[in-house]
Amino acid sequence: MKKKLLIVVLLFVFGAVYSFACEMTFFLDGKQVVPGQTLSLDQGRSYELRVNFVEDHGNCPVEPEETAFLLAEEKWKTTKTALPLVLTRNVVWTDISDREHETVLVFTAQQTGKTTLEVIRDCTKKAGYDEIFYITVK
Amino acid sequence: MAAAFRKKNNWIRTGIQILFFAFVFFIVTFGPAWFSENGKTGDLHSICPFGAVETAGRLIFQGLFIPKTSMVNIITFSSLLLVTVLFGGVFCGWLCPLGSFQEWIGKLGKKVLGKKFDRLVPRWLDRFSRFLRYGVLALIIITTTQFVTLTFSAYDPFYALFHTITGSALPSAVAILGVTAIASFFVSRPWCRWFCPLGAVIGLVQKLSPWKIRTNQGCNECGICSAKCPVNIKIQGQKTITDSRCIKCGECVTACKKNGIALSLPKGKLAITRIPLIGVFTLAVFAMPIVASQGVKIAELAELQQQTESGIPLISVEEISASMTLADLGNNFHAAPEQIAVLLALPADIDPETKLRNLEDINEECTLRFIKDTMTRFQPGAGDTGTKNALDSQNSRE
Repeated sequence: MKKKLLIVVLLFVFGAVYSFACEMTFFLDGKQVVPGQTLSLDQGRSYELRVNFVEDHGNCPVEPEETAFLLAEEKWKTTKTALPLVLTRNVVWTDISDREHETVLVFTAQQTGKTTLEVIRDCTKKAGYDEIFYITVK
Repeated sequence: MAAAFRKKNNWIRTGIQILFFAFVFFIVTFGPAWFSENGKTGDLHSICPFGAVETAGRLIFQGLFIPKTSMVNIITFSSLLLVTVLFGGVFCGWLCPLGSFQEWIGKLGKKVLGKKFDRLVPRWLDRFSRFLRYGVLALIIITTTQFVTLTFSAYDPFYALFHTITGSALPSAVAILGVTAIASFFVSRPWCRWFCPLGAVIGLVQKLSPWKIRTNQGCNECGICSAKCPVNIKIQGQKTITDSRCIKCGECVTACKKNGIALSLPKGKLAITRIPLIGVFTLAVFAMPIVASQGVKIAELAELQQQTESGIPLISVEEISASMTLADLGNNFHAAPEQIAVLLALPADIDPETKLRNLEDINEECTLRFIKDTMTRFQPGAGDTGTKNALDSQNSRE
C-alpha cells in the first residue's frame, strides 16, 4: 500500500513537470533561447525562430496576432529587405490548443553588426510582455 | 488567568491574520489606482516575496527581472528573511493569507468533524509528503529560469485566492485553490504542509533561527500541545522543535497549562511566552516595505502630475516605447495629439489611441526610431513654435 501511494505521488510529480506551461518560449533552430540573451548569428545563413505562447492568466484579451516583433525599432515584415535580418515568410500563428499558440519566424541574417529584436504584447490592465533579444551578426 | 491569556493570544493572532489578509486584498485589488486615476490596479506578483525566489536565477545570470517582478519582491523577501532568521516561520503562522484561509476553513472542519479532523492522512505519509514542497520549489525555480516567465502563476492557489475576483486567475489555479479549500476542511493546512514552495524556503532558512519552540521542566508530556499543532508536529517529549514545518503560531505555547513550552534561545534563555509580540513585530517588518513601495508609486504619480503642470517632459526620448499611443506620446511631451501628428507627417484626423508601433502602417517612414529622432528635436511647452522647430530641423536634415 505504501509503495503504491509512493508511486502515485511520484507519477503526479513527474506529470506536473510536463504540465508546466509558460507565457512565451523561443527556440532558435530548435535550441531554446531566452530574452535578454545575445544571439550570435552567421551572415548569409537562414534561421527559424519558433515562438510558443501560452496564456497563463485568464481572460487574456490580446490575440496572439497582436504580438509585435520589432527589429531595430521597426516592425519586422517580409517587405523590409533592408533590415539586418530579413524575414522570408509572413508571421502566421497556429493554435495548438485553446490557450497555446505558435508561430515560426523564418529569416536570413543579412547584415553584420548588432541589432535588437523586441517582442511586445500589450495588456491594458496588467503589465503585459515586453522583452528584448540582442543580436549580433558576424 | 492562563485561560484568559490563551483566548487573548488566539484573538490577537486571528486579528493580525484578518488585518494582513485585508491589507493584501486592498493592495492587490486596488493598489495605486485607489489614489490616482493614472495608477494601474495592483497585482499579487508585484509584492509577493516568492517573486524574489522566482526571479533570482535570471537576476543572478542576466541581471534582469522575470516579467512582473521587481525590486519590491526583493525587499519583501528580505523582510521575510529577517523575521525567519530571527524567529523561524512566523510569517506562515501569523501573516500568510493562504495559510490563514486554510486555517479558517480548518476551524470549521474541526467544529463539524470533531476528533476525526486531521486524521485522514497517516503520520508516515504526512512526514514523507513534506518533502514534496522541495520538489515543487525546485520545479518552479527550474521552469521559471528556463522559460523566463512566472510559470507557477497558472497553478498558484495564492494567486487564485486574490485574483479569482479580478478575473485574471486561470481555471487551473482556481481548481487547485478549490481542492486546497476542500482538503482544508478535513486536514489542517494541507497546502502549507505538503506543497507550499515558499514554506520550503522558510523551512530551510528557519534552521538558522536561534529562537525555537522548546519544552522545559514544566512539561509533563500530556500531549495537548501536539493536539493543538496545526501542522501536526509531535511536540511533547522533544526538547527543541526543529521540524521545518513549525510555523511559530504559538498554539502549543498557549495551550500548555503548565507553562512547559516557550519560544526561547538554547537552554531556555530569553524565553518569549507572549508570542503575539512576535506576530506584531512580523506584521510591522513585513507590511512596512509594502506600504513604502506603494507610497513610492503614489509619489511617482504625484511627481508626474507636477511635471505636467510645469511643462517638463514626463519621459526621456529613450523611454518612448512601441506600446505607447499617440495620445500617450502627446501627454508625455505636453503636446496635443494633432500637434504630434503634424510633426510625424500623419493625417490630422488620426485616432489618438493608435499605438506608436502601428504608425508605420499609415506612414511607412514613421518607425519607432524615426519617432525618437523627431521627439529629440521637439521642444515641449513651446506650442506651435516647438513643432515648427522640430519640422525645420527635420527639413534641414532632409
